[in-house]
Amino acid sequence: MEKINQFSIQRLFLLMKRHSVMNAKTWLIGLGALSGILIIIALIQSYSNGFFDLESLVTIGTIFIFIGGFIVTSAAYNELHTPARGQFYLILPANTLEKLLSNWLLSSAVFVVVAFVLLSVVLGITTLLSSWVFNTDTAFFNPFTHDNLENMGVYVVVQSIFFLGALYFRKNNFIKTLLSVFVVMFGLSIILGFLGWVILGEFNHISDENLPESNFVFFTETLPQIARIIFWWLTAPFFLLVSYFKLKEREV
Amino acid sequence: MIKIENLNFGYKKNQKLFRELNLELQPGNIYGLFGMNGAGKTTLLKLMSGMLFPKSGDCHIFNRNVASRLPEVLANIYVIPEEFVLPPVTIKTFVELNAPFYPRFDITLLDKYLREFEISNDKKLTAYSYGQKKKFLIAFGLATQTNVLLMDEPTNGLDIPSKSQFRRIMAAASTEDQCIIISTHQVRDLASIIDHVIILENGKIIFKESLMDISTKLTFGKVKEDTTSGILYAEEVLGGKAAIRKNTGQDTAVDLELLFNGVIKNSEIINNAIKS
Repeated sequence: MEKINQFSIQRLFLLMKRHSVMNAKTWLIGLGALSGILIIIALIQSYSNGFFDLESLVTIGTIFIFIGGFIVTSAAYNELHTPARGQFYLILPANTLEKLLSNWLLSSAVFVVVAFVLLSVVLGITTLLSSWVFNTDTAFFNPFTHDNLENMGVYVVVQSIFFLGALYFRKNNFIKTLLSVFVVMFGLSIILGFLGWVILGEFNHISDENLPESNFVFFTETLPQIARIIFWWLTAPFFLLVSYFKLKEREV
Repeated sequence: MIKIENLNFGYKKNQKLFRELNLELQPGNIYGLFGMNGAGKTTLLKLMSGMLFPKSGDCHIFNRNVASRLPEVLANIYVIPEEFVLPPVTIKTFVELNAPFYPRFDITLLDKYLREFEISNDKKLTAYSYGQKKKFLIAFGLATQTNVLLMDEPTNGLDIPSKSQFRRIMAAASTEDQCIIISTHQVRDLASIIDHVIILENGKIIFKESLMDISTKLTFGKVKEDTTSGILYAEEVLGGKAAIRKNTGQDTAVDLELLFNGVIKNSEIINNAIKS
């Protein structure tokens, strides 16, 4: 009997399948609409510029992926927030970690990989279409460059904040999470600005001329390094841990 | 099987619905959980299934705290709620997505119950009427073969033939290792299938007896208007009075509605009559 309570990959995949089937229609409509918009933008650009501007289309596509992904993430626990549906989810025989990871994996890793592959397919079709219609040169998008992989990483980290928002807020999760992030960032920047003014008020700017060498290294190398470690290694685990406890304590 | 110990619960801090509630339910029985609106029937079922957590005290199923929501516990509970929204998928897809979580789920049983309920499985669940959806959920719940089956107002929304189908299916489906709790305020619908009566009022269990004990100790029936002796409870009915009296050797069928009214009016008298 104890074994059934342990983490089960089989149940994790079952939960992922259940969530995917229940939301497939919404996801397909969303991805189809964004792909359509991107194709129209690409064709208009090719027509007006006279060349296929892959770089700007990749930027637009990446923005679509980020915003679309955050919206998908924000809706990850919609089932749970509707009492008449949430009761079935709460008593579904799976442990909290499985219920957390299934939705997180779908809205983070699975989403970002599928979205970038789809982006490369859409851009591939568009460049061929543009070349055929407007006689432009073809340019193909490679989703696996260092920059794109880093973008995927940034998405997964920031997405964890929206994931907590999906569990924390019952309605309008996306907007509420966005507002919360804005408020927290605004508050943090005021506090950091004040601290900076208190500590460095006498200096106009940080340079090796007006700071001792040890302080200069701290502000220009150590501090950014700490910020990078916090962003890449601590942010997502922190928000996932809070999400875990939020889900565990959730009642109908 | 189900053991509730010193359970305290309230939706608001200062308003406790349940105070030091204790209850023990055994397998092999179908319990009828009755109570007036707002008595706490649905809340009790939610506490038993781990959808709500008690403020203090415990609810155990097979000696496991339900609030832990361990797969082992949840795989042994199925709840048929009164209010529900089913996803826009076909019965086949619903079964594919949900049945694998229940190790003892039996698809042939589901087909059998769906046939008995006359539910075709060619449409999306959202296209069915409320009563049909409820019948599907009842069929699915029974097919999971969980040890604990909690039903909240299962006959609400069912037409008269469906209520008969429900009673027939329930009578045939329950097993010795299963504990079924049916919460309802429509006592007449369930008279023929339950074997224990639990009556809840203001968050307290004011009555818990087996039908066997009730029918041994009490009689139910019409009496003349002027009869007063030996009556524990009576109420006006068409053409006289319906009364609960101490059984003095004449066994009668238990009139659950009369019993319920009598217990609500004065539980002490009825309880004392059964205990004596």
